[in-house]
Amino acid sequence: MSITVSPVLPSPPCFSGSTNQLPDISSGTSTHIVLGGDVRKIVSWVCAALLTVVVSTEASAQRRVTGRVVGNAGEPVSSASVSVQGTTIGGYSGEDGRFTLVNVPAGAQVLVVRRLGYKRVNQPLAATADQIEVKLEKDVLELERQVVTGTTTSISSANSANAIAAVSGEQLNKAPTPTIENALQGKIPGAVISTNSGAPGGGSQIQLRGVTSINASSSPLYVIDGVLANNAQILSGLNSITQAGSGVATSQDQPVNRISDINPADIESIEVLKGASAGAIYGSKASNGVIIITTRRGSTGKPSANITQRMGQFTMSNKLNFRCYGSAAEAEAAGFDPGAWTSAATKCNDFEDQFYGGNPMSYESNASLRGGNGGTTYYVGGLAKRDNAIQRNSYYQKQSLTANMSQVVGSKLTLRANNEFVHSLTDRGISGNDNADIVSPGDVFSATPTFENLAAGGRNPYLSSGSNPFQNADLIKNPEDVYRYIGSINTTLSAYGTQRQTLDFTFIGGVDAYSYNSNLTSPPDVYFEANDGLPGTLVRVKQQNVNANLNISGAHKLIADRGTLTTSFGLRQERRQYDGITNRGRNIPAGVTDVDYGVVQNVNELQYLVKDFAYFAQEEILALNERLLLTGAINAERSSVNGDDKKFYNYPKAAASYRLPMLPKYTDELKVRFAWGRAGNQPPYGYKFTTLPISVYGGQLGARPSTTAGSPNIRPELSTEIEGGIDAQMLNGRVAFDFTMFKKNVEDLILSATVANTSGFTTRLINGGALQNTGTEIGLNITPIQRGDFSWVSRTTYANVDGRITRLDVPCFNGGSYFGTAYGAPYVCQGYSPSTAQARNGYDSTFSCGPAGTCSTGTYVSRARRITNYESAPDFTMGFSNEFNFGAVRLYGLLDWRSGGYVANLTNIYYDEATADNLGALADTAAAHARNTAFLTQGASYFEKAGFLKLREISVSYTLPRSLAQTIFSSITQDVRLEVSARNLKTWTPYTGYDPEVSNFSNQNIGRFQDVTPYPPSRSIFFSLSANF
Amino acid sequence: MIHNRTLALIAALGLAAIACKDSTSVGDLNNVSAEAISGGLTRASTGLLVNGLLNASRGELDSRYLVFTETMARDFYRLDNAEARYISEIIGGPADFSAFTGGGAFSGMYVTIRSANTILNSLPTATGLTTAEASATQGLVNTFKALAYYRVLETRDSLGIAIDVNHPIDDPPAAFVCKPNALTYISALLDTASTQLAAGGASFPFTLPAGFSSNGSFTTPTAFLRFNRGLKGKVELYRGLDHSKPNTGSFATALTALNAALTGAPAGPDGGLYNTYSTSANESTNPLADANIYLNPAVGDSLQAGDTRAAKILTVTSKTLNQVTSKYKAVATDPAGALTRSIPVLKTSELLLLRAQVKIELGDLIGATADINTVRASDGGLAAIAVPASKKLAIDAVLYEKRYSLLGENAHRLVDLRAYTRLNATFLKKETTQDVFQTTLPIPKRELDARNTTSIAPTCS
Repeated sequence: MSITVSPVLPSPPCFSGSTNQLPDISSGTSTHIVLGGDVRKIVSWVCAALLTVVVSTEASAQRRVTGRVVGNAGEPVSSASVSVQGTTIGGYSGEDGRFTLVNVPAGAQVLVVRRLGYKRVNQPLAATADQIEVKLEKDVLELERQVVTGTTTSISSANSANAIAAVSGEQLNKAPTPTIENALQGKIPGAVISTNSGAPGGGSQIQLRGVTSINASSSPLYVIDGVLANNAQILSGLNSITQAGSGVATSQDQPVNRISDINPADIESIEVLKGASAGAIYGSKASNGVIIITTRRGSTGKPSANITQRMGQFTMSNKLNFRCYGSAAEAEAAGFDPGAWTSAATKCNDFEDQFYGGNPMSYESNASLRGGNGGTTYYVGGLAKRDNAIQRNSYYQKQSLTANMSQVVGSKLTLRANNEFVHSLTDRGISGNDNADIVSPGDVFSATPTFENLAAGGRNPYLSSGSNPFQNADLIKNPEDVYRYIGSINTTLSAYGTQRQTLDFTFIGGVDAYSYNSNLTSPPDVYFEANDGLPGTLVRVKQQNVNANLNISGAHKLIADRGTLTTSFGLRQERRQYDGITNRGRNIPAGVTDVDYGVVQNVNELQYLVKDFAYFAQEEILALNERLLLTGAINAERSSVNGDDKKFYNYPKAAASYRLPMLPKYTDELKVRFAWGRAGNQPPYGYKFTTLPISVYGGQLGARPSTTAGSPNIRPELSTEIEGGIDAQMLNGRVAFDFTMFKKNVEDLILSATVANTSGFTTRLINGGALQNTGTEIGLNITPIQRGDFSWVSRTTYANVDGRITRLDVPCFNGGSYFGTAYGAPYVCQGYSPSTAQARNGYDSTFSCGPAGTCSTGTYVSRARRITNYESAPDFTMGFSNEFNFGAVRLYGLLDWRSGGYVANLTNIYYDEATADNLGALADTAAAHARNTAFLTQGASYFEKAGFLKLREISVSYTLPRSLAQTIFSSITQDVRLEVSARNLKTWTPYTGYDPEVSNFSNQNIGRFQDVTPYPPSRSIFFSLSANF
Repeated sequence: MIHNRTLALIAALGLAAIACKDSTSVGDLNNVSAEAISGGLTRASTGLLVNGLLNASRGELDSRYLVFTETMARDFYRLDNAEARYISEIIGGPADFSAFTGGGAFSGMYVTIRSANTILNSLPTATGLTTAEASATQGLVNTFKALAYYRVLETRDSLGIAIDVNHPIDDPPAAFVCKPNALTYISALLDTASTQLAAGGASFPFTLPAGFSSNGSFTTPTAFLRFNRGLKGKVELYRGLDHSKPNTGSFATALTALNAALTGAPAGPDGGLYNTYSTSANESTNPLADANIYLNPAVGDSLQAGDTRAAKILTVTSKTLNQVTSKYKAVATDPAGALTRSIPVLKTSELLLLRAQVKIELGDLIGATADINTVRASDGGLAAIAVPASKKLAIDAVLYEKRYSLLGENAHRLVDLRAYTRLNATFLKKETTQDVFQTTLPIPKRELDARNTTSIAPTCS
């Protein structure tokens, strides 16, 4: 088959509609790629739309209109877009607010003026007018913005058919946060953001609209300026010290997810496409949602600069308060040597204060410069920060440099280059689960009485290994060093343009490349190191990750009297590549840092390469005086990770929205919307292969059949989502309300299913189930007060998700990572929520019945395990944010409420002693004893309610009077703001552990409810000074 | 304008062509594909798979099989501040069938069995092997397959085990059979292997690991047949001692087999076939090298005066955890020296003591005492004992020798305590308040889940 090129018409790339085959240009063989009917239809639409380019007439006019865009107080508003409604004619206002439009059609017209942060204005232009002033009003609730609908297309939020959550850079940076996921907490309805550790530098996962996969990827897709960013979690090899699992490294290494490298201050806005109905254009990676990050850009006008300096402190947000022993007798009763108590200089050491306090100040310095003239705009930003986190010697440090430039070449070509270079360096210390030689601080504290002065750094006499967290923290280093470049080139060619239509081609090439190096060094003089017979451990992890993507698309816009038709089409190619070498040396001489000195060596290399290719096409019709929006799109994608890597999987979407013309009283806008779409979730790399594991025994190679059966036919999970809702604006934009309901069905769930182990297999990888999530999301933004210098803006979000596994092709099983049903295990079963935790909860014993029917006193016959299922996911989540402005003073607060859900508090199991009263490591021995006794008789007593209300962010800021600022600083100073801001200042929760948000395995889709001696979460208070020039 | 557009389209098409040219096919970059052996075996690939099988068999001796069975038998107490379940579930409440405790010492054996079946299924079409070599290979593979079945039966005992597992993954899971049936099957399998080894010519067509020749040689089919006979004797002994269906002819058969195993056996109590360990790159170290493994105080305290096996025991700082206190450790578990220490699979002293057990059952207390005294002298440096006055005293004597000669080497003591009905408070100290003297590990939850059931009743014929 070949591409049909029309001999008559200028050649649009139309694939012949008469056949369902696309060419395989590469091989020249007869390989046929079968496309679904949807693709064919879209292709023919695209062709039809393109044909109109040629047949339409070009009008000509000479009218010239000049004008000025000003704000409420008459101040000029730059960079406002001004266009003539119903045409493609438009321009932008300059620094002085002035604009000039040429070729304006004769007669009365309407000018549409838009500017981010202001409400849109439709200003009538009289037939005779050639000068005009347009006044814009501040958009306090940010109701007006452009939302993404395709790779290169967007639409005004007023028409959007999806509930797309957006967070502006300003909202994001209201309180300094270590990473962007933290900055999103409480701001996105329908997002549950969990953290697997309180350690600095990330380790958070965003789950959008519930659990959408059991064993495939759980991460949303991150797109940064068109680049598909890598959000991998790289294992540092901490397991070599903790032995939490087997092997050199495991998922219990408390890994950082790498999206945390991004500098939040560089972000202009984040849009969150929560599911398939909005994200279909991202095809087989969009099932978990898509998070689109747009970084800051330049703007024409005088250069403006910002410098922000922040200083702050991280402190423990919650203490467990280890027990103090009041007397030698009490120490003895608890099983300790009373002499040790008597001779102790300090009878009660506060391990938590000593180990999680006293760290130096943290700082963050941000500087940025933006500007532009002629056809050039630029944004340059720089960041240097260091968070000295609460645990002794742990820190997170980051430097980044961003340079985003754009250049207009001639009248047709716009070139944009975005570059971000990041270096991050973090040492998260040791925390979480451990085994063998206990090293996790929480674990060691559970085994050491507080009259032992651990902080002195000596051998811990209460552990045979001598393990002392203070010595460990001083001697063991685990720096993780990342150098990362994220860059993209975005070229737009306006190939054709008239008053009525435009044809643009966009080329986006992007790369996200980083090298990761971790150097775990545990010298041989660390007390516990001798315990395994191999004193000293070095683990070196060297990794290279490259994501590259190429996007070529065209967009044709036809503005007719009845409406606007936007046709976009294109192709996308992606390549994700990884090569990592992990080398461990054990039994090393003191003082060396080279892994080759290790007497016992382990070397491991892991690689992957994934290649994806997609075609897409989309049609948008905006009609009925911009009241009706209809969208249809299709994305056909193939990937090397699928069993059939030649097969294209189709991801269509369709959406409609309608702004009602007849409005109830007090209502400014009322929109009903409906969207339907499909997206996928790719099989993880390697699921299609069945391997022959190779081992070494006695210096010879050996091979045995794999215990995991791969699936040669594995295909992507297919998520189909329907969402509908209402958006309303009332009381002159003072109230905005949105309501969304969705239903998401995920078919072909990729399962790592249990096989009868007697078969010699343990796991089988299959597409074998379906789940359904339904939910509601509500947003209410109001401006109760806006009077002169005083304003109050309040935002409330609400979301709930109800998940059910609706089909399972294999028997029910415990999936993911867990410690056993004694402690709670994730349960995958038809009819159950995917976030179910299954726990054994006692026994029902059967006794033989005596003659009098006294069955309870008969002889013991048998017993059956009793199982209790707990729901680990919250019933609903809410966020309340309020901002008060009194002239120069601003007060802002964000409350994050998660209601319901259970967590297994395994940390308490460490602290509760196994026998009689008064032996535990915590003060509340009565409660501890009760739950421990229940546990030892097979009860599920360590499950706790984990709902919470957190004061996530709070800040007070004061803007200095300009005259004062200019006196103190310099005459070029525009404004100077002083701010005190805090994160996680206060938590209200029934949970008795450190924090219900912490989970030992939170990097998996299910089973995020296991709390095991974590790195305790912290709160932070920062003082900032921010100056604009 | 048209010009620009045409250029753009040509550029777009050109890029599309480049994009399409890059095929999406990517192979497995990290592993050897199972397809490498699906086309049939060669001499080289047979050797590769046999080494993999022996490695899998060695892998069965993980910390679970050895530590759990030795803990249930009250030899090892693993005191780990991070993991109470080594005590709380193994000698406390029942082991959690969903955790590493109750789910342990199970799947590894079936991995070995599948490794063995993979070789056995392909051997008939293998190229580059003589008939004798193929027979020798079958004999060796079947012997290790029988050993894997026997080990999983040691941990599950009366719960039964699955036998008929040589089926594709899509077939229904194999039925569980009761212990007497399983023992009958294993015994017959060892006989099949014996016949195959006898027809196996002078040598195996592959190199065997060092543990086959470090303490006496088992590297030829004839020499390896002694190992096979030793296992046969062991299986027959416990077939005879089975509570539910004791097989009367078994003790005589066991005696014959053990005599055959001991004929020409390597000199000294430690002669035998071993699993070896190494600290070389990507090799495995000894799974018992673990500083948290302590000994039941009774092990250290009950040693007879002058027993040179005291050298196997270390006295350390006393440790109390999870209701258990100990001040002894085993040299075999001390990481300082144990990382590369070999673990015997079957050695002469065990064969002698098994034969003593058989003789006790056959009423030959004199013969039994002779075997016991051989071990006492060679392994413990102890004086001979007089012929015990009763069968019970004879069993006491043999269990003493077994405990110290075979400390931490396999599940011998759990199996014996169970066989002699001594796994109870009459003979043993109730260590924890929850101690239920469990006799077996449960059927793992994964196995039950995969069968969509909550319990399995073994079939018995």
